[in-house]
Amino acid sequence: MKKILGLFIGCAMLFSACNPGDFGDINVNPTAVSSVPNSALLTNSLQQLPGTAFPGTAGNRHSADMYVQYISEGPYPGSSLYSDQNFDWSLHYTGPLYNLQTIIANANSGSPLAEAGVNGSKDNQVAVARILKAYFFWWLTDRYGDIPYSEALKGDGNFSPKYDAQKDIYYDLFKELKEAAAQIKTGEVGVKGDQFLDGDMAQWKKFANTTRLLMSLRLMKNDNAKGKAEMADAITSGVISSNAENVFYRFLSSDPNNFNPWYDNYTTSLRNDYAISTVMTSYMAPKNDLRLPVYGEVLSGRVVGLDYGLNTAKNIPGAYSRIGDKFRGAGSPALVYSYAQVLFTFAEAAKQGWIAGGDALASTHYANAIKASLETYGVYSAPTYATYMGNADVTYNAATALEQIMTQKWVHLYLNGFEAWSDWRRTGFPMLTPAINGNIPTIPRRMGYPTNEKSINGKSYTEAVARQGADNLTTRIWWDK
Amino acid sequence: MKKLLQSLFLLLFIAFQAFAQERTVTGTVTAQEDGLPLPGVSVKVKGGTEGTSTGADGRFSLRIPSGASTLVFTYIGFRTMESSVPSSNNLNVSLVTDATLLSEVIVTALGETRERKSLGYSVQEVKGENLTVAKSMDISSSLAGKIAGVQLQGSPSSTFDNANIIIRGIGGLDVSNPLYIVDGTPTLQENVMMDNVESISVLKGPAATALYGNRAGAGVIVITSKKGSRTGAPRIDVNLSSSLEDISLLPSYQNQYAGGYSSNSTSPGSTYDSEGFYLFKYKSSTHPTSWAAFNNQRIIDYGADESWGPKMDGQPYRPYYSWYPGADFGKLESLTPQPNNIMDFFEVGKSFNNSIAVSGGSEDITYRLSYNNLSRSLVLPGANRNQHQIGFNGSYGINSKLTVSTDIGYTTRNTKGQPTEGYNLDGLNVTQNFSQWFQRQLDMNKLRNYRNPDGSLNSWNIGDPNSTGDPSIYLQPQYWDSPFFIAEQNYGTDIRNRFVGNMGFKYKINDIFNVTSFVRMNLNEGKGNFKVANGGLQVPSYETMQLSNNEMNYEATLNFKKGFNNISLDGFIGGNIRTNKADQLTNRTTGGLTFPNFFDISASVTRPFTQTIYSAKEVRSIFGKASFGYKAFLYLDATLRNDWSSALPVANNSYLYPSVSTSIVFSELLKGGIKDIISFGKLRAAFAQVGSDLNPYQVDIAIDNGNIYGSNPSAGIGNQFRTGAVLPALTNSIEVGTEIRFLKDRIGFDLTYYVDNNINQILGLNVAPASGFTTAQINAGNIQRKGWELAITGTPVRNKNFIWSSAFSFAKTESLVKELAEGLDTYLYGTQRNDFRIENQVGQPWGQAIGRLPKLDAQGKTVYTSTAGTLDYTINNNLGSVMPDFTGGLFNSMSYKGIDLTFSMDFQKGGQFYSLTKMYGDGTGLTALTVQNNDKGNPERMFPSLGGGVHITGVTRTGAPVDTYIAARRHYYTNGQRDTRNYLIDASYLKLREVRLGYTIPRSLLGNLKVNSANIGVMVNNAWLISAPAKEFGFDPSELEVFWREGGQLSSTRTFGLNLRVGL
Repeated sequence: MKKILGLFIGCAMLFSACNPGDFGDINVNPTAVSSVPNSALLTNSLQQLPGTAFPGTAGNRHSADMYVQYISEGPYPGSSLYSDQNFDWSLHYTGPLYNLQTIIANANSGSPLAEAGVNGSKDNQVAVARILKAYFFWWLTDRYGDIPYSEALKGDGNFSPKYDAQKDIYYDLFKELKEAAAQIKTGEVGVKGDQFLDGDMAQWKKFANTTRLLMSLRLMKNDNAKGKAEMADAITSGVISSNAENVFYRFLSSDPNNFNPWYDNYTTSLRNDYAISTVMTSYMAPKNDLRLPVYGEVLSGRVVGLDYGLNTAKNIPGAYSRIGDKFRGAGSPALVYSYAQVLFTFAEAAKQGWIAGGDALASTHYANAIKASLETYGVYSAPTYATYMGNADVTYNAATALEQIMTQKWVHLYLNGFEAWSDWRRTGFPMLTPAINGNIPTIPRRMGYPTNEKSINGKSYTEAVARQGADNLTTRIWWDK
Repeated sequence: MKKLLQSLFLLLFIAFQAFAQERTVTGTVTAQEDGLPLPGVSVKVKGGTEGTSTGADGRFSLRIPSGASTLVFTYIGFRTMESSVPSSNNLNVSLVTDATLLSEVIVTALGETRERKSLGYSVQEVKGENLTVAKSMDISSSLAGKIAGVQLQGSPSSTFDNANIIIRGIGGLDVSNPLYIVDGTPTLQENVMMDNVESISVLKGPAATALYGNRAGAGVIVITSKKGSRTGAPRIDVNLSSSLEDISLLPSYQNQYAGGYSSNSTSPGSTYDSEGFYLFKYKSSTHPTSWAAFNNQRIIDYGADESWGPKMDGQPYRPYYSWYPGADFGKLESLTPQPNNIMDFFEVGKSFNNSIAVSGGSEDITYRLSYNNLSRSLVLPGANRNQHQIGFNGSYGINSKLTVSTDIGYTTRNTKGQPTEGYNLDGLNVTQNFSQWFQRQLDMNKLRNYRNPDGSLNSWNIGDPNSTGDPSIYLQPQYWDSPFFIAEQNYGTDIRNRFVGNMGFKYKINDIFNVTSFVRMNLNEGKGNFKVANGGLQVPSYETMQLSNNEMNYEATLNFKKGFNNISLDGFIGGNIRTNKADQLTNRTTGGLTFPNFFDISASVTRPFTQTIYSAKEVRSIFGKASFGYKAFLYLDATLRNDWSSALPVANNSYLYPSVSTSIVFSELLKGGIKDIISFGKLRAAFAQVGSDLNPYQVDIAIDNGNIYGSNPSAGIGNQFRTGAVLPALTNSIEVGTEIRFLKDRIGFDLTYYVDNNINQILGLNVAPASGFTTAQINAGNIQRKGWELAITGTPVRNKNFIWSSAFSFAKTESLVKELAEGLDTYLYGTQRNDFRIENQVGQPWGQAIGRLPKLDAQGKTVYTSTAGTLDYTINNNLGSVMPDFTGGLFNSMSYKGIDLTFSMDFQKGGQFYSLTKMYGDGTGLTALTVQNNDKGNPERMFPSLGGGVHITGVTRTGAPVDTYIAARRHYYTNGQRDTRNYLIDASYLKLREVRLGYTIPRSLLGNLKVNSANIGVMVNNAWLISAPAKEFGFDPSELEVFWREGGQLSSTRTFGLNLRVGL
């Protein structure tokens, strides 16, 4: 008996002697990558880029397209009635922003994950990541106003980052974009994993400068001096200067994981919930705007708009024009920045005296912008353009020029709701009537913070609300005051 | 099925021949105590194989070989008795109550059988026959109401899904379900053959489960299967049942108004006529000239998947099918209610559940071989399952020292058309269609013919003929295909093969020591596919899936047992190595199929989706236990276990935890007359600690594989922050209780109180996403779970003809979030639409429902966003916990002469769930609630401009008074969704779950048939939802998809069946 007991204890000792805590690499997942190079992080971050300028319906981001009344809702009016008050942002902070932050950290720490041969030169990696980071932050702050910025993206360094004042964020973003553009080394290997600008570092410079140009305009109401200075500097640094330089995000018609979001919505998910609005059609149709049959589906020879802002339920297919095929093909690209957009910006800046030239130059930029827009949508021809420019309310008129510029810019920015909404907030143009059955009597001027911020980042949230104003759709953000 | 029956009868026949005997002994068995007959007493020939059991009248009749001379009578709770057979062949015996009745043995952790009185913690047991009263097909629902502290998390009775249970409420931030063990081998509950179950012990708290280590935190269901008997005659048990199943509960649909959107408008306008009909307006520029005659015909909004249309009063109108080319084109039909349309869709389900078992043994051998076939079709057309199970267990004493044993079970199961559950946008959940998005006037028989003569599909949900005369456009379905097309053409198949088994050695060293060693395996292999057919709204697709998950356990224990005078000492030390491996491969076509209904991955139009999931884990353990007993009075147990888990960080992967428990049988101290009142009494107390680990691959921050873009790989940083240094978590548990029985055990109470503190849990706590992560994995928090459980068992009536025994259980449990982590006071558990979510908040009971409430001004007036009457609302309102206040059940069995009646009930008080079905059913005008009159006496659905509408009063945001009538849909759809309370439903219920009425066929009627017992019965499963606030909305709260929410709840069904049990 003792022998047996001894044997058993012996076995137990043997068991402990062979280190029962050593499991080799059992706990390494063979079906997940264990580390990710910067190029793959960049690809991943860029996959979220079109959601900003071509929002689709994910995360209720189509609300912006509703605010500027590009599209109307059929059976389930909701977003167009301003029913969404709170919008999540976790996708952007934890997705592209943190990935971009990781790219910078990898490159700066000399990690093998940032190795130049497969990722592009270190400076170029960092520069592109900084530019994109600034771009996403810009887009976020324009939606909400004050947001976590200086203390954000620090992981366990700070799980409850404070919200920064929008002014501070803007100032820092200008600096970031400027520094990052300067960091670009066109002579070195461009970034890899870049399905957006294909590693063309000169284009990245222009992207950064164009971002700064568009940002500067936001300060029209509130901070003229800074806005003017940044605009002048951005222009000098070089912005998009022809339609050939338009930047598109290309979706892949061959790959369901990279489909156009409107294709996903209409065709994959079979949601026929959205149609072009009568606000668009009634402005464009009387002028025989050749962009209209591109913007909306042609039904029995015409584009049929759906009334905007009503609470009545309507079925769309066959009855109202869905958005046009050029915007909702599986591989239809998203226009992110365009030459026309830059020219409209110039026109506005000239008209407002931010850049030289006054009405004369404003008028030229305006006419060229419309031409560039028609070209962008593939409907330009000299005679039709001339006819179009001859429309009474299209012909440049110094007295109503700002409205004309902004209204034409709005037409051009079709389905880039966020940009058009910011323009509207700054200038009040185009003239829009709030949704008749809207939950609030006015068009929203910001989006509400994510529903759960109050519980998971309560102190910072409360502080931000105290500074900025109530967390609703009507509080004006800093540059809108 | 027919074949199976044939073979069963053949077996019966052979049995009758094989066991023909030579003389017949008859007699009656009674209890000495009261002289009443004892049914079910086992009567066996000593040293032989023949045996029977007594009938309800205590009588038996047994043919024995001429050489046999002694019979052995055994009955639980009585002393075994041997009696020699007199020459008269008539033998009456009376059995004596066993004083050690209360030393009834019970199976505890690691399969150890213990005397119940020696346990220092609560264990409750259910005998097999009480589990399968109405042939319930899964263990979880068969336990409902029978064990105190078990909360059923059912699944809809109209699916094949197994239910789940929660034991003692929720101990962590997330919900976990118990571990299922069959004869020592961990397995899935689906692998258990219900007719094989001898008994189930439910180990509830950490003190009972400590020896199972970390994965038993949510309790353990220890299943003991029936074994062959060493002394018994070979036995054949046949258990046949067939049953029919039908829908028992549907939402209360309204049957007055047809489909459409007209009740969304305040006036007819130019769109509708005054009755709410949509009108066809002929336009020469749009429509064929032949349609001019249709001008001003009444149509409805076919594209609406809602029922806010005109009243159904038999008016002539154009149904959807009158727009399809063919004989019906252009025809008017009268608009009439179809109150049974949903019922007409469903079929009567049928099931056959048959088993046969052969068991027996001799001095050295026991064996039991069993087979079960379950074949079931659901109420959903086209859904069926066929399952075969074969089981074998046996033991063989090779010599006086060494015994080998095995217990294996093989299950093969083929399922077609498992119903789709939940809220989906793919149109595959037809119940969601019927109860959330439908038109009430639809005739199901019309939908049945979903193919047009040209082979294309039709749908009730077509477009608007006003907009175009082109049928290829207006016939395009808007949101829904025919439900019959979905059920018949869009379905999955699933094949599962599972093996569970063990092989064990037991070597007796001497009278004190023995060694046991087992290898146990649990293998699950499956493959399945899902087809979405061409022609419908969905992009056609084909998906295949293969999975395999295996668990191996290798264990060895050295056991000892020794008694000295009044002291007994026993225990063991042992070790276990467990490995778990799982992998899964999924392939799915994308972008469509190259040829119509060519279901193959190679038919993928674009690059197919493919995914492999793999996981592996190993846990190594050593453990030991020592039990000490003094007289039959004082017992003390102590256990110690150390685990090493591969899933933890290497530096922290070893953890040790103890438990101690004690039991004091105070009734041993009682003397004299009081013993007649208190027949047994015991106090118990236990402390235990249980450590727990992680799932595999969760130590370091994950890399999330992204979607490759062209040739650019894509990946991102995972959303959970991890330090790589997480520690094992610990649960501390204290449990005290008492068991008291009175009046010679006619009534007994078992009361338990427990407090668990789950400290230093491994939490994925929500953090501000701006940090770059949505959650952070940390060790923190304290979730305190406490509660009490009461089980009452009794025999209210027991006399010569009538025996009634009853068991009542009751439990109250509360899980309180005591603390989370520094600076964090909220853990997000789950979210649903419209700002609804479940949060665990510090200082609050587990599971707070957070949602919307209408905004009120300072005077308490309802605020509207404008005078148009859309409700204003606030978010983040706490609407109370979703957990129940208490749960329980009642089990009853009665027998009167040969008739027996058994039924079980269960109940839950409190708790709530969020219902999307109610939200959309009300919102789309499908439910009876949406047909009401306003204060003018007019239907709310009438246009407000004509005197209808819903009367609302309040103020606008700027304080202007609101006093108006709004369109009904705005009230029920738009405003309804702004008050979460409308769809947060009380989950209380009282339910009669199963009933069986049986008749034991008297031996006299069986004549010369060599049948030991035969019982025929009728049974009802899911018998009657007696009372539940959710009932009027069509829900049985014990069958929810998820206990706190449902998104497209499938219907409840009731099953009626016939059951025949024959013992040979």
